[in-house]
Amino acid sequence: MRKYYISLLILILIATTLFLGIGCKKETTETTNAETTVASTASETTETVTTVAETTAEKKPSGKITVWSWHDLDKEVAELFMKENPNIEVEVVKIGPWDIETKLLTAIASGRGAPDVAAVVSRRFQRFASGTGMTDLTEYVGDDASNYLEAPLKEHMYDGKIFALPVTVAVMACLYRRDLFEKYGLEIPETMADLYKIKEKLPKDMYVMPLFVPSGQWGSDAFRVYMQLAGGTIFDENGKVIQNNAAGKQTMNYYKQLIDDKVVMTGAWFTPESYAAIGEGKVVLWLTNISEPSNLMAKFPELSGKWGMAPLPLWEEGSPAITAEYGVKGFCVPAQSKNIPAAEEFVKWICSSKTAQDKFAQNFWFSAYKPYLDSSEILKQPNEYLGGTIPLDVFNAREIKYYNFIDWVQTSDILGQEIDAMFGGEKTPDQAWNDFESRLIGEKLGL
Amino acid sequence: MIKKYKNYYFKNWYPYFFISPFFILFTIFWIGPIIVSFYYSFLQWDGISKAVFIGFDNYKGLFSDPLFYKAIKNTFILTFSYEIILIPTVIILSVLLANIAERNLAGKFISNFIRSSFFVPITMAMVIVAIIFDLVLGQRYGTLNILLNSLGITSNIDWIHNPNTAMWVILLLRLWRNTGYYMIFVYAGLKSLPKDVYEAAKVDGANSLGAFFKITLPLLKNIIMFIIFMSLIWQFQLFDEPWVLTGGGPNNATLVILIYLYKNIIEYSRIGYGSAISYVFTLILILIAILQLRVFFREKVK
Amino acid sequence: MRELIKNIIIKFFVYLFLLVLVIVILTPFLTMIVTSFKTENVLYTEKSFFPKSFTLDNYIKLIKNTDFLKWIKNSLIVASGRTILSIFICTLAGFGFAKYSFRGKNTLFLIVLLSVTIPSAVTIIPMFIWMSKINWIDTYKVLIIPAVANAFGIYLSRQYILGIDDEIMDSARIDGCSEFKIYYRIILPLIKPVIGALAIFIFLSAWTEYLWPLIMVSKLQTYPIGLSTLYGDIFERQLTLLMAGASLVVIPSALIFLSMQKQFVAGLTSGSVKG
Repeated sequence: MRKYYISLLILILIATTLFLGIGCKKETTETTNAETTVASTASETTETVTTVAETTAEKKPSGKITVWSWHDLDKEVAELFMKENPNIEVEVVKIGPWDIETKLLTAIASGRGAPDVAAVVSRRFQRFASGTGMTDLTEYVGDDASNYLEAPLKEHMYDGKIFALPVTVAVMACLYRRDLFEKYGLEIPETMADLYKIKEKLPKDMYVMPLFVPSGQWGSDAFRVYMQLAGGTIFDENGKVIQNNAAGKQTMNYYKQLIDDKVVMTGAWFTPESYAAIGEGKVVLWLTNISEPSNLMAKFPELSGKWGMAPLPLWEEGSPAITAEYGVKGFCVPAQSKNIPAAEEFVKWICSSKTAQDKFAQNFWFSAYKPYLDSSEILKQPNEYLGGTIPLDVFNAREIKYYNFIDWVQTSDILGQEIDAMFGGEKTPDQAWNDFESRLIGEKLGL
Repeated sequence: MIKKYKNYYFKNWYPYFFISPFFILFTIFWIGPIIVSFYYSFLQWDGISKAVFIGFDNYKGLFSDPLFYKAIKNTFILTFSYEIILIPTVIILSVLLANIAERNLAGKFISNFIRSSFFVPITMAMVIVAIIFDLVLGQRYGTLNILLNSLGITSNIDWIHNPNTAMWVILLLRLWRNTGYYMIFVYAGLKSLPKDVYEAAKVDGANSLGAFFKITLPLLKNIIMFIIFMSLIWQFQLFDEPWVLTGGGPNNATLVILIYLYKNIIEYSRIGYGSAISYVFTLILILIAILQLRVFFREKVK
Repeated sequence: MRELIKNIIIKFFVYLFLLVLVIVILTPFLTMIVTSFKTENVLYTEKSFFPKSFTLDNYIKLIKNTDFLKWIKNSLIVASGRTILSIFICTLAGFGFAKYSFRGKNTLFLIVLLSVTIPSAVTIIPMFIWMSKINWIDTYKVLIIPAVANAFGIYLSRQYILGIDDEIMDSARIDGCSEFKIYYRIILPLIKPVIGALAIFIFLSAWTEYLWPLIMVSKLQTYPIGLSTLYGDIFERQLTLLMAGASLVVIPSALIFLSMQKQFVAGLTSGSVKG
């Protein structure tokens, strides 16, 4: 009997030590620097890379790279890249945005399995930027950094270093229905207070605009934009929670006010429900992503010409003319990449080249690269679907305010919960905001 | 003499041979990782920076974590209400269908058709089911509300996003999905019951309801116990439905343990804390499993 | 006479109840299929259940522009591989547990049984580290082999084999059968219902599994993962395309499962063993 138990114990111990030995990631010396070109002696690779051993930085980058992205368009753009750079072979694997994050996390935790380039949702990127998993691109980008719009670029930076480049930028703008504006004699709102003026002229069963409540993690992002408009932010420059945040309380109360006064149509956004309501004309305007028209064009082609776009209203009379980011996408180069030069080349190209950005511009996606924005013909054209609005004018009319998205994943989750608690009637806006602050401080283990 | 000894030796060796492929795989792919992840629960690790050994801090934090208790409460409520509705429904429907099948040929076809249609939901991908439930239970344009309104009951409840109704939507979804699956087992069991017992009972003057309770149920005991055991364990490990439908619910109304676990490990990068959650959860499940084994399978195991 | 009327009334209501139930159960399924024939625009503007004009666009797009066929191929390979290997290994082990006595039998079985209580999310990070060390990431191996040791499989097998008479085995041994031959020629044919039930269960769970393939493979996409890429970002969320992807698979898979189900029930009622 004893012999049996001993052998069982030994078996378990063997299995355990096997795993412990390869369990936690120790300090790795695998993190390669952006500087040195990698002379890969392809021995234990998981990625199929066949680079020729280059040692000088003068030779053009070549070889194969794997790109993870969730946009079909990136595949087309990659083809164009390969035409201009025949030495580099790009394979784009389509993976959903949240899945990419999950997979990057496990890849970095285990030291293997990361791609050469990955598309990231920029506002959630900080947890990767602040670790050792990403290649430092600062030296590679060099002076070109000043050519990027400041706020989007800073989202990808940590400790002064750049870990990803923004490829497309979306800000919040005001989409409105021209036909309904005409019908009810409405004017484009200049400040948030003007929303009430619009409300007065509408019949009882119509709303001014949709509001993303219940928010959850996603909807809290819209709240963040309003808060920025009100001039506030959650974290200060050092990453500390600003306590007794007046702007936060103000925005929370404003949300409640909008809901109680029936100015807004509540409901989760981007669902068939909300789109059906928007298409039907239950709302006359929508404060949303400046790239949303590409979606509307696909879903409601018959509404062409009936939409218009204007810059985001000001918070109050005399407030600064700002907007906030509402959907930035970036490309990063994980440190595990075996072909960093080619990866960097690809990232730089897709973020700044005319070829790539033209393709994005056709889909209403704005570049973060100033030289392109200044010279883009596509973005300067009056848009037919939007009844003649020139997209670039709307984009340029507001300055993009920077926001410190430090640990946004958990923050937005908690924020969403508190907004929903207020929306469900459990708490007053002030209570919800206070709880949010104390939870943020209390629940942040390890921040 | 030697031959007998050789036979005995070989005979004893055989069972180990039979179970070894299973156990080799089982140890490598189950036991090992479980032990390693137990080790993780004593760390503070976000997967990217260095891991820090913090002893029982994770567990201490867990016991004062209101969200953890909320998750446990939600999981228990969902599981027990699920069981209470599922088991009788499965049994009654299976008996009904078995009865219909007995009668005539048309009955057999009807029974088969109904049983088959109950099985369809589980073959549908979860993502799709979530979208469809979204379409059906939408606030303004959802089929259900439109139906209710046309019948005169004004309803503009946002079924999925209202914290009060979200849980019951999840329950409904689960029941819709799994009833057909368990019906297979009960129906098969019913079909294999001996007919003569019923004949004898009829002669003695028993009516069908009495026959059901006194004869059918006891004979089905094993299968029913089995279904309860499996469905209970699986329901505690509920993840897909609430995650895809509500992501944990408006303000954690539908937060179940596995969602909380997933969020901690993948979204908040608190791998140590997440591992601690999983172990406390596992402990709870093991206790429930042992309890069930003792109550139901007293004769079988051991 | 009154008895007859009562019977008819009961029958009527029972059938009505069942009809309503079936309609409710099948509505999502029908919605999915009907939606797959609509275009995005129609989905958001027309309120009717059936589209005014059927379109095959979604299906064409699905097969041409996405890796749909690859997803199906991968899922089939993974699911079949798992099912075959798992049935073999689990029934073999179940046989060992049921018909032999050996040291540690009960403890080992209890351990296996209790492992059901541990959610797979617990083991995923250590497993990923291990799998990447041995280069199994992005291969079929990592999707098939770890799932083969299935606690459910061994439990079902053992329970069922326990009910088989020892005499059959003893007479086979007298005839000179080796133990393994006993398993292969005698036990295996007798446990067809278990094999059927296991086949349904394992194939189904392999087919719909999400978390494990998500973490373990990137390029080798299985059906659920592939389907969710269609649902990816808001700007590419084409619901109708998604519905087409789901519909195309549901019908054959539903048919396969249904036929397996019939076999299982048939086996149970005609075999030499009582359930």
